[in-house]
Amino acid sequence: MYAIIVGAGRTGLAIASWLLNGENEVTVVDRSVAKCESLEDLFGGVAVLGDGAEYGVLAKAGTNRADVVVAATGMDDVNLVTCQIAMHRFAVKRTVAVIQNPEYQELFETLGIGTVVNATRMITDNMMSALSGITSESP
Amino acid sequence: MTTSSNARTKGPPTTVIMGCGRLGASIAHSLLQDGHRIYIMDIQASNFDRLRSDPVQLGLITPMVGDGTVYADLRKTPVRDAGVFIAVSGRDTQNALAAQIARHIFEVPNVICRMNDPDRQAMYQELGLKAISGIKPLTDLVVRAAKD
Repeated sequence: MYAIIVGAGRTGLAIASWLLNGENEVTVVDRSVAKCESLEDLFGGVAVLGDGAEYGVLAKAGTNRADVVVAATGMDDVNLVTCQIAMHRFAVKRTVAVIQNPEYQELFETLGIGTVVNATRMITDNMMSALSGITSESP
Repeated sequence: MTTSSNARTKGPPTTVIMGCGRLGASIAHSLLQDGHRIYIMDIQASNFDRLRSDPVQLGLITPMVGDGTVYADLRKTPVRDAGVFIAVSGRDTQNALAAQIARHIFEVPNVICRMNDPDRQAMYQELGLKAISGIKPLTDLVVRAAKD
């Protein structure tokens, strides 16, 4: 499988590492030179420097033959536009977007993003279940 | 209280603009001449210095500090009754997000968004937004000027 990951933060790196261990082909796109250099040190030959929400950068990353595009930057707007370009310009069938603002889930799904990873909701859900045993009132 | 559809079809159009840069302020002043009731959002209050003081004092242009990609901030404007939403911040991705929120969450009938990048402009045009870009008209102006 060929996966493109946009955003070389902790999430992007962990997913890239996991996919590479599974013998998949992976390209990671990040607009930071330092992050791309450290990617090359870590994995070798996987980094593309640039804004993943730009057509030309996604073209350079080989998005036309990608099986999945994972948009995992910390910016919800960038993740949305990245997935939309992947879908509507490169006919990528599977898109995954991370969101920080939980209220965007419905919008992203309406717009056809395959999987919306609602980071803040996951954290708060975990936290609430951890706290529910010790709080005096549970709603 | 008027319903959303009534407010959208009767009387002067209510228009919400995101971004009070030079372009946003200029659009606000021009649409005011066409009889629009304007609400203009910006995350930075100092950007409202670009607005003429008269229409602001008369309540014809209402500046609102807020983020056009945050639902709670949008709900402070009459976006649900607006006939037009215009996303003209300096960032394409912010404009794309705000415009699609206006279209799909608040169901604004006429949504316009600025794209600096012509590739993104073409895509959002196909997706049903009125995506506008200054690159082509500016290029034409420069090319024409270079011929003189």
